Amino acid sequence: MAGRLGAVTGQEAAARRAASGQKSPSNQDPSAQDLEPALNRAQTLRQELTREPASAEPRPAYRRAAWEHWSLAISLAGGLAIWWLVVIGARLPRFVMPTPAAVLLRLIDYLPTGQLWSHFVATISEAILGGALGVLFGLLSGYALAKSVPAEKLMAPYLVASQSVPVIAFTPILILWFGPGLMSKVIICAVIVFFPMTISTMVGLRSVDPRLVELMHTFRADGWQILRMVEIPAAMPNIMGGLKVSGTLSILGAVVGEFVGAKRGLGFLVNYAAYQLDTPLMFVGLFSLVALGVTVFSLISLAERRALRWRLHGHHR
Amino acid sequence: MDTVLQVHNLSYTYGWGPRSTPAVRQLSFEVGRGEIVALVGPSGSGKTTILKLIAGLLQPQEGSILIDGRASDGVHPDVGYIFQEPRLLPWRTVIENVMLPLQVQRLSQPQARFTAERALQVVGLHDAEQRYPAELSGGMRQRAAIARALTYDPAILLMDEPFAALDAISRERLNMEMLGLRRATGKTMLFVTHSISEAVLMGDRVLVLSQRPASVCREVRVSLGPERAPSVQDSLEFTRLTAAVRDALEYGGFDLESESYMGEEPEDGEWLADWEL
Repeated sequence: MAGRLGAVTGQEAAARRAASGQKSPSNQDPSAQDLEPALNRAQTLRQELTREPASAEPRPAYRRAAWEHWSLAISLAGGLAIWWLVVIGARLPRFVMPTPAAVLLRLIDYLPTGQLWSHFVATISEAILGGALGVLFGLLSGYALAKSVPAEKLMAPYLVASQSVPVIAFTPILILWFGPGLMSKVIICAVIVFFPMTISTMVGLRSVDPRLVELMHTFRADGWQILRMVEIPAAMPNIMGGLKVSGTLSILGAVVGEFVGAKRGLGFLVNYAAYQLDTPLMFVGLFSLVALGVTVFSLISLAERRALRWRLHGHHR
Repeated sequence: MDTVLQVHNLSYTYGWGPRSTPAVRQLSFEVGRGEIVALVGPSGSGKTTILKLIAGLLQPQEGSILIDGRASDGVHPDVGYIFQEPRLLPWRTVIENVMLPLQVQRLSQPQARFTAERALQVVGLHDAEQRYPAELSGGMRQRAAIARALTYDPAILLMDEPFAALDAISRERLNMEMLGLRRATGKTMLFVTHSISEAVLMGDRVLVLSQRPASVCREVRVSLGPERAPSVQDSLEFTRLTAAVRDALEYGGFDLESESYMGEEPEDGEWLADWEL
């Protein structure tokens, strides 16, 4: 269509020249005849040159070696083997370091009581509720900080303080205020998650290309549309990074809270088992925490990959 | 020919007090329907400011701008703005990018898609509609940006050095396509360029601007006719016209009132060093 107009007229001209050349070669002087092929060559050359350069080829798929499919299994099996060999070789007593088998047996022993599940649920609900609360407030305050200079000035001392003091130090006072139940852990998780989420949201929104915002103004977009169509997607890589950190921190917050004062939760279980010198049970608690952490991290990574799918195409920055 | 754009006595100064920089001073010109007008001026002469004022991205401090006889408080609804960079949203595919202005206008999804597909066909990019901007060449990206500005059918396209970032071959090709677009749609275009040859190749008229603060110091009518092939650049007439624009640019640097050059006085020949000839 219109896109090809220049090229089409050029081709037509060449065809016309060629046609007239064939019909009446005798009418033209010899020099013009010699010129004809050269003109045609120039024409094709021009078409060659003006052809749009081929856009970025899809990246060749990375071919995995056979063993890479089993890398996770190999790595875990290796770790277990080393653990087992160390315990057997050094003749460590059970209460210092149990064998993997001892831990597995303790798990099988412990599962039917249903207590592991209840500890699990306690920790996960603390982490999810608190994390969600922290993320929500982090997003809002991150937006406020990115948009308003007074808000940033007023919040700055707290942000700096929060970066230089471990929030965990506030745990006892929060337990004192909100009791040993769910509430105090939710607050701890929310507080721990709040600051990194605030900062990553703020950084993300600050990094939005002002030229894209100007573009939206030429379409007469309102503030809400600019936020929805440009600012949030542009800040998404940072927000997703903040979410990843938040997931891990939220579990950390819940466990720390349970250490300081709780009646349930995986943190409580680990602590309790330590007092009882029931080291295999302690490991059961630890591995449950590992499983929980890995699950949360993977889920957030999956969400990140879905949200940032466009980054897989072509080259960015 | 009726006028689409009337700029009258336009002035704009950045900042205030002793540190203020006047960018545009008492600028007046008109653009007729279906016309392509090129604005050429020295670097930093306020060309971009002029386009932003016309679009409504900046508010004039003095003078008036009428598009289709109407003034506008904010961004004018009848203006399509094409920037030097394509400014595509990297997380959207080509078609989603082209649909963006229609989504802002709250058009229904199928309607927006239909219009966007037609616009992509006009610029010859319908095969690439599912690709992401990062997968396109520079010329294709700029075409997507042109398609995006065509979707809402503005009365005038404002183009700020639209092809300056492209290589010479893509640029010439897109120049020709813009002429084809005008033939097909009758679009009015006002574009800023720092390339004298591009201005003469595409424009029906070339407005030569003075040094900052910008005002029109010479108008060169391009007598090449509306149908132009790239080979027109080899004609004598083309050379004559570019020479006229170049002369006007040199003259534009000369302030008639004080009879001296504004800014630094150029050495012989150095004056044109910045210019792509």
